[in-house]
Amino acid sequence: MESKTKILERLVSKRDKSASDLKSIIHFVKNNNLRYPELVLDCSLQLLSKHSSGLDSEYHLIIEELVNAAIESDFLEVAMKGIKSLSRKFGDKNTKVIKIAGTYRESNGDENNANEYYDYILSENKNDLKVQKRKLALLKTKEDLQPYIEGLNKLLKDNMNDIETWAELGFVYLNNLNWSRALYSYEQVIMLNPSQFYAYIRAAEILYTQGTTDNLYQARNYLCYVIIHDPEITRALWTLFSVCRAIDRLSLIHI
Amino acid sequence: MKVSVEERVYKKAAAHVLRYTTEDVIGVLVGRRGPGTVTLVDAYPLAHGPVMAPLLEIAFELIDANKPEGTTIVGLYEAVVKTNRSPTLTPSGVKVLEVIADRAGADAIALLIDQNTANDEEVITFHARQLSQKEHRLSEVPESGLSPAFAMSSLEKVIRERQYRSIVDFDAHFEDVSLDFRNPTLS
Repeated sequence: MESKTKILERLVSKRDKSASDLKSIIHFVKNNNLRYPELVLDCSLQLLSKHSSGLDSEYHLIIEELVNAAIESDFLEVAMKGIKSLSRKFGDKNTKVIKIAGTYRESNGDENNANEYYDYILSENKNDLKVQKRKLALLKTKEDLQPYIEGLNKLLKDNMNDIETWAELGFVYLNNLNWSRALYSYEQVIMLNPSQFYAYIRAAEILYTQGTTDNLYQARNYLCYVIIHDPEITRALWTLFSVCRAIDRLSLIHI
Repeated sequence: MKVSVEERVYKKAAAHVLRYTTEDVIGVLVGRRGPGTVTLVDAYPLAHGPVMAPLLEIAFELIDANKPEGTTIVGLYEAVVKTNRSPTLTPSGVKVLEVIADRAGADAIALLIDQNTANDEEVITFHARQLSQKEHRLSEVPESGLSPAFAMSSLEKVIRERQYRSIVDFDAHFEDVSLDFRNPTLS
């Protein structure tokens, strides 16, 4: 099976791209949760400058992609122009426009204003989970991550089934070498959605890093599950190799 | 200890940072040791996220099999995502550096890459630290030999031609093994 990177390379390498080709690239990156903000920015700008008349209803969708990509690539002037265009079309009070303006403010280092924008959206709809997460993300840039971790745990109290938050919590604990809590978080992801193979691999990596015989056997179980369902996940294969090698060494010690 | 850095190291490390600007990145440095000196010869991007034992072990084996002749793994580079924090190693980075120091039986070098630049002339800046193998204590490198002007001139082409888009780290290599973690186009 061709990897996503190879498919994207094939789409990008095509010379004299048509509007359809440019849109395919943007949609492929978005639908596969890939991160190529400058590529999306390039394609969006080309679409808007050379093919805008043919975009019709997709025009503002492309502008939205352009703005998100520009914010991520730190081309804030371009992002601001896009936000103004969206604002003219949908109005200043539109939730999506305010949300994007909030991320723009974040990127500009204007956290206070970003917070105000998010508070405004939450005052209209306190259950807007995306904005709650965005507001929480402002804490991630601080030196002390404890408020961020507490915020994630609080979010999970009200949204126990939110896989993204469990995964983020696991990621933060991992970064801080808190193995046991990271493992717990990734195991919650597994329970909520057993097809999230990356969570199995992460959990197996943590168990391998922690060591002990029981952990190694559990790691092996997780990895075998992944490989049975998708034998082409190289990371799982490599990790399984490491785990089996470690089990082998342990059994030689015990002989 | 005096540290000198070859162009290839600046290019690959910076390309890794520029490719994954929203994530912490870490990579391995290989070089040659002399009496009181270390020359950093090449860099192998490792991951854009937390690193754990399996990835590290396999990466070390692959790097050992592919590194330039006469070099050893001497340290790592790390870049924390653009925040208000001052350049410092993450807890995970410290652990990896300790493993490198223990493995080499010698002090290990850390290149900290900072995107929070104070001026417009430097896109990113490099800072050198060393970890003593005996005490596992991090300190400044007495003679870092880092040259901001040389670093910026090395990066000019990487940025202008957007070569950083094609950088491959071990995370990417394990998703698609046809992607070359040695990044020969940036050498």
